[in-house]
Amino acid sequence: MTGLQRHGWAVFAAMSVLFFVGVFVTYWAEARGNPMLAGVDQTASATQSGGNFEGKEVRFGIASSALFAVVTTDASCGAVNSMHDSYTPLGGMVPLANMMLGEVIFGGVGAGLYGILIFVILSVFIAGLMVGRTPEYMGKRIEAFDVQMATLVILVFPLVVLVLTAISVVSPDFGTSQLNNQGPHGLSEILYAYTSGAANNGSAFAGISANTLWYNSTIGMAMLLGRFFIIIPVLAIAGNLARKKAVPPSLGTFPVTTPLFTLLLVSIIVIVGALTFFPVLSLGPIVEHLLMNAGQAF
Amino acid sequence: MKNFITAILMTLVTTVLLGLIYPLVVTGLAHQANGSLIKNQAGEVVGSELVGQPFALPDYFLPRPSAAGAAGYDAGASSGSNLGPTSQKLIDRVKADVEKYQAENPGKPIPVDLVTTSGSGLDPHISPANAEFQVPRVAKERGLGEADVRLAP
Repeated sequence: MTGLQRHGWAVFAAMSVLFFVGVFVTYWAEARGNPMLAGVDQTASATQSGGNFEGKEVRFGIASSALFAVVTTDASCGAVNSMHDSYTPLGGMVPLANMMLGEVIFGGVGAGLYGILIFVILSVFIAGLMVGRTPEYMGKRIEAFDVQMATLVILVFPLVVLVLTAISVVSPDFGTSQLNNQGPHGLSEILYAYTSGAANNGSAFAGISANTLWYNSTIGMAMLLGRFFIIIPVLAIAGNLARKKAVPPSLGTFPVTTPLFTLLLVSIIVIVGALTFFPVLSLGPIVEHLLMNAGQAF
Repeated sequence: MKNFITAILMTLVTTVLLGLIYPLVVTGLAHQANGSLIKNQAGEVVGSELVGQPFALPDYFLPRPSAAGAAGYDAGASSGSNLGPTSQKLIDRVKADVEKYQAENPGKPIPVDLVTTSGSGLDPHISPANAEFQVPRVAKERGLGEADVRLAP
């Protein structure tokens, strides 16, 4: 449709990089097992898959469970074959991070493609800033309005997730009283619930008893805002680009078909995601990982 | 208008095809829709190959712990424990089970699936390591040699 099949491959490569990193991190974290379980043999051998086995089925083992968890959160699938709540902190952080990036790694049905295209527009824009030219994408100039709308898409999602999570964690009556786990894992449970809702994933950390007035109404709100509000600015970009005249590519055009572009796209996705969610992730899964290795239980 | 008619027709065709014809074909040809039921000699259904049951007597191979329902292995209440890795409840539960099994089989490492619950709470399988761990007990309870228990189908 765009006549640029190699651009498709460049984007596909960026998604693949993020996908495989996710699978390997989850597998590594789960295969290491849980150091808090003393006296239990968690090493992999010919007769058992070992690792952190709470919430996993024998027939799937560690590898298929880790792969399933990453795939289900890269796309907006939401089915699970093992309980994400019982994953090790870092193993559970990967599914969470996959959804926080907006499910752009291969992407959810319907909403996956425009998610990655927003990141592509941001990448072209930032590349344009670096070389000092007006950025172009598919022969269309990317101007202030398009970037404003793209930024809006990027910002609405964390706004919904973080504000609702923040209200829940400071509310003992209706927020933290519904938790199954204490300590940083409780924060992960609340965060996962809103992230999954806003990203329309449907998978759950599940330890949280979300069938209450507060959680039902706010997660419902997160679902509506997370999916439908984001469509408005995306359509605005589409309409605005459609009106513009196509310009032929020049020397100043940043090529979107090269490995360099793939690298830039991966970096933009990771940096935007990390800048937005690193603080909350460091209070949840990351601090839990450190405490788990230090032998602190809750 | 043409689009609407196409959409409505598409809905009707897929409803009949995928909602009626496909299930009937699958039921008729593959018989998988009957489930993987296990029948006893009298022909009564006593379980399913794919849904674990709570064997508790020491002369059976014991299943994994289960968080499905209050007593475990409640097929109407499939659930994992949803306990995180730093949960004190999880650590205490595993510790109690480890002590129980160490008394039964001193000095042998405890396979991890023997003391952890599954995601569904209905896991019908145990790992070979877990089975091997239980061989001495089953052999003793049934008055068989350990090699005979290992060879049993």
